Amino acid sequence: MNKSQLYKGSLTTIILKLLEENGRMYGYEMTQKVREMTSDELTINEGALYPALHKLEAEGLLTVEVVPAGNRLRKYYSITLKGQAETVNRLAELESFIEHMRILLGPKVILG
Amino acid sequence: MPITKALTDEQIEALFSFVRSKYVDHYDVQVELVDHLASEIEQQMAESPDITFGEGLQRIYQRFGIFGFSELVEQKQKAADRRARVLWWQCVKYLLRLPFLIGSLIGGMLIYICFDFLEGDNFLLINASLALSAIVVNAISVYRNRPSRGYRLTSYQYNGILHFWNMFHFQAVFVIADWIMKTYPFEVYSILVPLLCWISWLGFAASILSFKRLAKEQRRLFPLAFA
Repeated sequence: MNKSQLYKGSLTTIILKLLEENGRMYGYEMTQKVREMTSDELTINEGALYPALHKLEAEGLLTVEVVPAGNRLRKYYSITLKGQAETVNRLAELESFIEHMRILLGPKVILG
Repeated sequence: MPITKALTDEQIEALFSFVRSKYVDHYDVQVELVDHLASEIEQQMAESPDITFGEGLQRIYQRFGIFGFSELVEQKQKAADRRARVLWWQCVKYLLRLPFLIGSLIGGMLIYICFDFLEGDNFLLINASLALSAIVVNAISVYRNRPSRGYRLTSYQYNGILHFWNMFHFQAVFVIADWIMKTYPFEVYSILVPLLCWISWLGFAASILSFKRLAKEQRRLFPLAFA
C-alpha cells in the first residue's frame, strides 16, 4: 500500500473485511474496490496483496475457486467460517488499537 | 464510464510469456498474475485509448516494485509449504477422531504385539522394510498423478511435510529406535519403540492423506494442468 505505512499491518484485516462484505472477489477487484471506497486515497500494492492472500489461504481463512473469465482463468477468493471468526477478532484488535492511538494522540481533556 | 475492451488470445499468451520470462515458473501463480495484468491493462486502455498493450504492461509491472514478481513467488512458495503443514495437521486430528481413532489404535496395538513377539532388531528391520515399501508405493502414486509436462504447481513442489515424513518414517525411526534400545532398559524401550513407530506411521499416513486432498483440490482448480 502506498500513502502510508500505517496501513501495511492492516492489509490482511482489510482483505478479510472486504471478502466478508462482498462475497467472492479476485485480486484485481479488491484493489479497485479499495480505491473506490477510499476515493483513490488508498491503493493496495499488488506486490503486497497477493502474498497476503496466499498466506490467508494457507491458514485456511480463505478458500479459492478458479473459473474461466473470457479467454483467461480467474482465481476467486472467499472467506471460510474460520476466516469469519478471525475477522471478528482482528477487527476488535484494530478498533482497540485505534482507540488507544486516539487516547495517546488526541487532545487532552483537562478537568477542574 | 469507459468501455473495456478485452485483450486478444495472442495478448494473453504474450502475458504468459512475459511472466515466464520473469521467472514465474508455476502455472497456478502464472494464471493469477496474467489475470491481474490483463485486467489492469484493459482498464488502462479503456481510460486512455492511446496506450499500447506494451506500455500498459510496463506501467503495471513497475507497480510490483524493484524486485518484480520475485518477492511474490517466494512468498507463494512459503504459503504452499505452510498450507501443506496446516492440511497435514488437520489429517492427524482426523485420524485421531472417531471412527478412524479405532483403526489408529488397532494399528498401535498391532505394532506393540509385533514388537513383543519379535526380537528388537528383527522388529526394526521389518518395520523399516514395510515403511520403505509404503514410501515407494506412495512415490509411484504421486508420480502417476503429477501435473502434465509444462504445468508446474507450487502445491506439488513445495510440500516439505511430505518429504519430512518420508525421511523420518524410513531412516530417522530406525536410527532413533536403535539408539533408544541401546540406551534404555527393556521396560522403557518396550514402550518407547512401539510408540515411536506408531507415531511415525500416523504422521506418514497423515502426510499421504493431506497430499491426496491437495492433489484433488489442484485437479479441481486447474484441470488443464492434468489434461
